[in-house]
Amino acid sequence: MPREIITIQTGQCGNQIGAEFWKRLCLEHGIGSDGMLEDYATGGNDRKDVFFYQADDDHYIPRSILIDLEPRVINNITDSVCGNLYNPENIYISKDGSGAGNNWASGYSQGERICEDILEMLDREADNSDSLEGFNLLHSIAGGTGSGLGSFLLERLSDRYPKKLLQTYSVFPNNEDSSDVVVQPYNSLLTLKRLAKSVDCVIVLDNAALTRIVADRLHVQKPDITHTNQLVSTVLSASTTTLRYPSYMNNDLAGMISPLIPVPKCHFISTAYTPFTSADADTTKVVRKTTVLDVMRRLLQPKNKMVSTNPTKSSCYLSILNIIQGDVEPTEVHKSLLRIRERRIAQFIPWGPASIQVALTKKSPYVQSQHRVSGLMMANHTSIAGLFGRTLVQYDRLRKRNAFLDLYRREAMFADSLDEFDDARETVFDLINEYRACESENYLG
Amino acid sequence: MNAHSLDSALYRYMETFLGPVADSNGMTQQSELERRDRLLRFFRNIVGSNISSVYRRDAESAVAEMQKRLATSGRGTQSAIRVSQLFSMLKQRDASYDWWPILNLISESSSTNAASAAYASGTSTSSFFATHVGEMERDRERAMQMAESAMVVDEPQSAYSVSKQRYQQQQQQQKMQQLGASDSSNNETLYRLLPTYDAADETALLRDLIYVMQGIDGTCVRWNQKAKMYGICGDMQFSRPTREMVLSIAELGALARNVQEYVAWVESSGRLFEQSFGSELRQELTAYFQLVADIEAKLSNIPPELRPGETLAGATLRRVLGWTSDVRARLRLMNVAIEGVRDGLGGGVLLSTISTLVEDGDPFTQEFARRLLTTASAPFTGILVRWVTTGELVDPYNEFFVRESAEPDKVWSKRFRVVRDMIPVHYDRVLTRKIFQVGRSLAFLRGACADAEWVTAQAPQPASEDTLDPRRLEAFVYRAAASVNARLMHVLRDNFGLMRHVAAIRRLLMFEQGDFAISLLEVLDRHIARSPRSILAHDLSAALDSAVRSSNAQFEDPDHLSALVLAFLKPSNAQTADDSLQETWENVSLRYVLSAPLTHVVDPEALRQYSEISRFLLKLKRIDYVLNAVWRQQMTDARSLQRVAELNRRKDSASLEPKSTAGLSSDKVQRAMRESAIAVSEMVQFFHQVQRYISLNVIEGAWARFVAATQNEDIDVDSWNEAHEMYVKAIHGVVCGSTSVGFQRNLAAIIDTSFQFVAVVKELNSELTLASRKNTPSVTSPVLSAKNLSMPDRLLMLRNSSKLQFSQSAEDMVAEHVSRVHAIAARFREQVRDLMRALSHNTASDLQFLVVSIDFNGLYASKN
Repeated sequence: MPREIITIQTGQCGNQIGAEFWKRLCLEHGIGSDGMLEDYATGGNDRKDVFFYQADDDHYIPRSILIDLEPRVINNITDSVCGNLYNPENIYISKDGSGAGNNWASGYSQGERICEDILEMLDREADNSDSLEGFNLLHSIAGGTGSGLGSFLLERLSDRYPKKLLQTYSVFPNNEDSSDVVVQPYNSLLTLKRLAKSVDCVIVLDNAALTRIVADRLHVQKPDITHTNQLVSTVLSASTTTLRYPSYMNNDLAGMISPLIPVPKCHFISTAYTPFTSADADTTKVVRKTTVLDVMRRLLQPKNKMVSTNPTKSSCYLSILNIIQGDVEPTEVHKSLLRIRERRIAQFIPWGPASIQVALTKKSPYVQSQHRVSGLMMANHTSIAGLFGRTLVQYDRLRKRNAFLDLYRREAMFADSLDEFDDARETVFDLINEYRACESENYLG
Repeated sequence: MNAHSLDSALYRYMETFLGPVADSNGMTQQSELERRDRLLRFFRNIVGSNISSVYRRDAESAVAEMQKRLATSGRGTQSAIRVSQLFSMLKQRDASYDWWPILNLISESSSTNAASAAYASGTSTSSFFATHVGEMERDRERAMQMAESAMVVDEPQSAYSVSKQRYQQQQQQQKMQQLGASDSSNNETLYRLLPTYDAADETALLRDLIYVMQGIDGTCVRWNQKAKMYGICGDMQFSRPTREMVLSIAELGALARNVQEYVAWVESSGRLFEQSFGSELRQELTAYFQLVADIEAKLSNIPPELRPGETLAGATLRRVLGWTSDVRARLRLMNVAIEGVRDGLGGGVLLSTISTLVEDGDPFTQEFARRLLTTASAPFTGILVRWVTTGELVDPYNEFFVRESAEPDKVWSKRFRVVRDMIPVHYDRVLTRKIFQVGRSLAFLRGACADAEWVTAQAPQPASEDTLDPRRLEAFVYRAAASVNARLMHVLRDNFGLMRHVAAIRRLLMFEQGDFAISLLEVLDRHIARSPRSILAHDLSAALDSAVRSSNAQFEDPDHLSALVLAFLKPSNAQTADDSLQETWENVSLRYVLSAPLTHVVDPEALRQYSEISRFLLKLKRIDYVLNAVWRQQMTDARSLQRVAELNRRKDSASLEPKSTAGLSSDKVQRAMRESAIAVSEMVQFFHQVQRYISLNVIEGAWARFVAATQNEDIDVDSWNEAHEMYVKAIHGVVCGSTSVGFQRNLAAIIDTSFQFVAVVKELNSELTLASRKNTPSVTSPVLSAKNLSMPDRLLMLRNSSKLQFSQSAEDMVAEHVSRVHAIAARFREQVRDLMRALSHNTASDLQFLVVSIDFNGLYASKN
């Protein structure tokens, strides 16, 4: 029952954060860049088989599929130190290599074309696992490949593996700076619809918040993509520690996210992390003593959240799961919960019981950290609707002007009508309303 | 020294403290001279009575006597021969010299009895002078006569000086006694009227007493059966001092008789300690009889007629009394000791009795009792040393305070026990415990741990002087205890992996290894669902095997895995399928089977409790597992419905949605599904909080305390066990013990409700699937067989199923299920509130704070 999870990384963003993720996982499990176990890592009590499988020659190979419509990023990965880690048969680069041109419709329609090849890879990986738990999609929702091809794959996976959990780590674009990709709101909206309908759990990673954290918390003058990717890989590895280091609870994906998602529709999870450490500042920072209470309190502070939202007075948590890692007295958790509750720091839904779940996990013995305790919060908070709302506003602004729609009309899906846009808008609007309704006492009525 | 010179010497002596006679007043001078004359006579009397000469014998007989004594004292013939050699050398030097007085002096002063030696030397010194100063004898004759005449005047008398005039006085005394009786109010007078002469001659009396001292009746002194003592025959008259002396000497007889009887009994049926005690007593008795023999010898040498002035040499009543004073005290002590141990349990009790005497303030008693104790405790020490060095109990008469009991299977806990009454009082509790532990540990190491090699080769051995001195022996026991205990813990920890096993139990039975729990549930679920009634023991072992292989438990030490057993609690009775499914689950339980010697160390009760804890935790894990499965199904179902609607929208975008026909039902179904989804998540959250509390607070908290308590290097097995027991009890108490009755009862009810809920939700879901299947041409479920269908088929199928055309009966069915879901969810909430009420009254542990984490946003409480 390894409860394997297959990771699918699509597009530039997806592959970049994927590469960081695997690098980090290898580090934590003591797997060398060639996939061989390091000498010091043989006695571990970790579960590598959730994310890796062992080839006949004892190499550990990630259960990962790398897909891109242009070769640059994946080539960078295969040329890197960890290039030999991946199964070459699991790497798909579109033959024409022209990419999706930041066009969701292009990515989606190319998906239809290359669908059989990719499904074949997925089937092979699925057959390779004893009890497949689900899929993890790493992508960004703003570009072309990650969003368009990603959306296509989500729908197909949902059909093909209806009983498996689908989880995505979705990077949301920085709304403030849309100079980059002008059609970003179109792409985001269309992807959001799939995230709302074909996915069980979406971990929202907001580029705006990530950039802010890199600048403010890590004191990096000119934040670039490598910094934010490091943050994302931290979240990715932290959110999977309970699966990789089994302890009393939360040892499978369903067990971990089931308390987080009380209503199937509301499955967008925001994260917060503490403490942040920049790789550059390792030596200058003073090692601080952190308690569970400190960690839990900091996780509730907005500055540590990886989603920038503006909570209103009625915003509330549907649920919270804190994954706390490190040197912690287990009984401390209970006391910290009482203190948090006493101070009423977190506001919860008014219509049903909700609470902070806490999972204590072991720390990888191979990765030295300056901090005694670190924590990741996975929270289902109604203010996430604000993020969708902003996308909707930007979409409406573009759509009113019918800007850039030609790009989309070129593809079959939008050739006849732009109904898909309207449907996506409706879906996102519904989603926002569902979250708003959750803030009301009469939600159940 | 002639009589005159003796007189003048005494006179000079008198003048030294009275001063010269003043010649002032004739009258006073006269009376003063008379007074001095009287005093002089009195002194002469004293000198005469005390300087007792001895009937002379020749030197050869003295040498023979010395040789005899040397021979009997056990110093061997060698020294006896040496004495005769020395004597012959002396004789050669001056044959005419009379060596007898010197020899006599040497002989008597070398007598073992210090006190009597003093007497003897006193005597011999005077006899030495008497013989060497030729005139002494004649002087004494005269002095004797003077003394006798002095007796007539009312001066202090020597009560036992033999005087023929006493007989004349007897008549007179009797008269006075009669007079005194009439005036009995005057004690002074009465005292004075008591006989001051004796009815029997002292020699006769002494001869009598010799018999009495050996426990044989004499003529004047007889055994009084009623008083249990020797008494003077009623018709004999003795002066008070004589009477008292006679009685004290006669007491010896009674005491000796008593000791003799006891020794005789010990010889016939005494146990080991009593034998040893008895032999010490016997030695004492022998010494005593030796003394009696000596006295007798002295008596027998007395010529029948004493020459005037000769006294009874070595043997007078007073001397005999003096000679025997030590031995009397010893005999009395022996009697006290005998009284204490007679009919007792022997063993430690005996030692206790004697050791109380050691505490006595009298140094003589102390010393004697200590000697007795040393001898008597020799076998005890023997057993003790054997016990603390090899762990063997060699105690044929059950006299040691450690006993072996007849429970061979409980090698550690019950094999040996301490008999409290048998512990000698001079062993304090700590020492007793240490002694017990050392031997027990050694026996355990030798037997169960197969470590006999260490016990024989490396176990601490006492130096020979350690066994002699109780204090050093005690120190040795402490040393041995430390090293034996260290060895035992080392063997248990390192060779038999005591702590490793306990840690493995925590991982496997308390599911710290969470993935193992999930694997186990998954595998069992398959087995039990397939054949709930006919699941067999080997199915279970196969299930356990596969659960281990598919989880990280596979990396456990094989020793730990082989100790793990999955078994039925009791054979299940075949009932209806539904019941037996539940019952099978209830009866399946994990057990951890330790092997020897750990089985002896870890209480089987603790293992049983582990098993119970595990059974409860498995149930908790199972409800979590089942709820997660339902949650997953709801998620994927919701996704499928969305997907169906999406495909519908794309394909039928032109045509009209047939929503109107199924609208009502769909809406109802939607609401029911949302309600059940919310209820599921509520239950999931509830059980997560309970699990977190139990695992992190109860189990980990107890574990941390246990580890802290057992970290100490010099912890012994018993305190380890105590800590372990506390650890298991702490957990067991909360999850299935007495600490939290309300918690368990309510929790059990909630778990039951949740299982019912899951069953109803599953029915509802299958109802919906059935309803949608009726609308599809395909017989198979669209969801399960989707993989095998071609894309167009699948789309067609999905499109059809999406319409959810409910027949009337199906709709009723759904409605009924919806209301059941609702009812059960409501019951769940009510039960959670009950639980919270029960918990808030529980002050025994921090359980009441669980309320806070269960009802974090105060919703249960607000609706209360």
